[in-house]
Amino acid sequence: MANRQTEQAFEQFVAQQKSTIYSVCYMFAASGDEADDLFQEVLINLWKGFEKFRHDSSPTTWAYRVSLNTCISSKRKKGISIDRKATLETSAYEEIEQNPQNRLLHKRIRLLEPFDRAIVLLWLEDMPYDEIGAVVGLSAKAVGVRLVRIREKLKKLQ
Amino acid sequence: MTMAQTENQNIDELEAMRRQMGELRATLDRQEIVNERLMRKVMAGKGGYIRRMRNVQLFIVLPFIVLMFLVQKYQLGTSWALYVATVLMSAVSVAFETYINRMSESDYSEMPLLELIKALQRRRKQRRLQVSIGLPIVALWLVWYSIELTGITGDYFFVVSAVIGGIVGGWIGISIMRRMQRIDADAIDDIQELNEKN
Repeated sequence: MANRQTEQAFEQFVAQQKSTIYSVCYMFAASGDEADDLFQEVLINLWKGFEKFRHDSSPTTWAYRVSLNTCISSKRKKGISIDRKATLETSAYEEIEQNPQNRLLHKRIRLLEPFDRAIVLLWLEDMPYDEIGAVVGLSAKAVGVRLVRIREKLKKLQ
Repeated sequence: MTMAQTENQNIDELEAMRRQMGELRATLDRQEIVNERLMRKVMAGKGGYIRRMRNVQLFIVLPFIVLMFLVQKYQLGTSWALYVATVLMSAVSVAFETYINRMSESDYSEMPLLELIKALQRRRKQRRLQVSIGLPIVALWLVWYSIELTGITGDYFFVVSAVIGGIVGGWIGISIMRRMQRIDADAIDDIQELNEKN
């Protein structure tokens, strides 16, 4: 059973990384309910791995890795999840969607396949290519090549 | 448009996306996305669904099958061959299911993304193999079982029940499997492209 110190450390970690985590969930979700479900699932996976986290990468990189993997491998639930009662009364998703720039960004990124979406999100975070590569499992050079193709793809899809 | 102009436009578009991402993060920073209730729920979460199912199969379903068919063997007089085949078939099925789902959700969440996608594809292929081999074996077992029971009781009720049960069970099993495969599909559809280009 985790002790109070670990719980507090985890709460602090989540408070620092919440924007990172939710932005990933937002980019992989088609609705507020889905984003909230993904967010909760990511937090659960982060909690499970928190004590084993060896800080061989930065906390933000680790949060990205777990968030992306969870969102990509997650089983999509249909309808409203009853677990939503554990989250807020109104979703952050609705607040975000009020800004047309956010909606545009969301629309453009969701045009991409999940793997490319992950690379773009990491690149938008200003992460160096070798770090992106460590998260997604490619060499830094392959990441660079991949990004060029993604840019071309985005241009064609617009 | 010249190449230089195209390149500049590409960079401008990406910079625009970066600015949009910055605004999104600023919006999220102002939100109370996490509350005490959510954190309590997250930290109270027990082992994953897959691990629970695995434990149920190993410690409840399999022992139940072993015991139930042994009792039936002595009460109805079915053959040892049927009993051994039933236990073996169930054990192999549970073992294969355990092998397919050997990695937990938290293991999946820690690996590099490309490795994860390949693992999901492997799991998909293994499930397909499980169904393609398992279904015919179960169908044969059902025929054998109903023939033995019919021979013992002289009543064709068991044949009819076995056929109906087999159809319903098979339909349910295939529906579940297809649903699981569809869920994985989004994540792994571009694996072919990834393998070719990397």
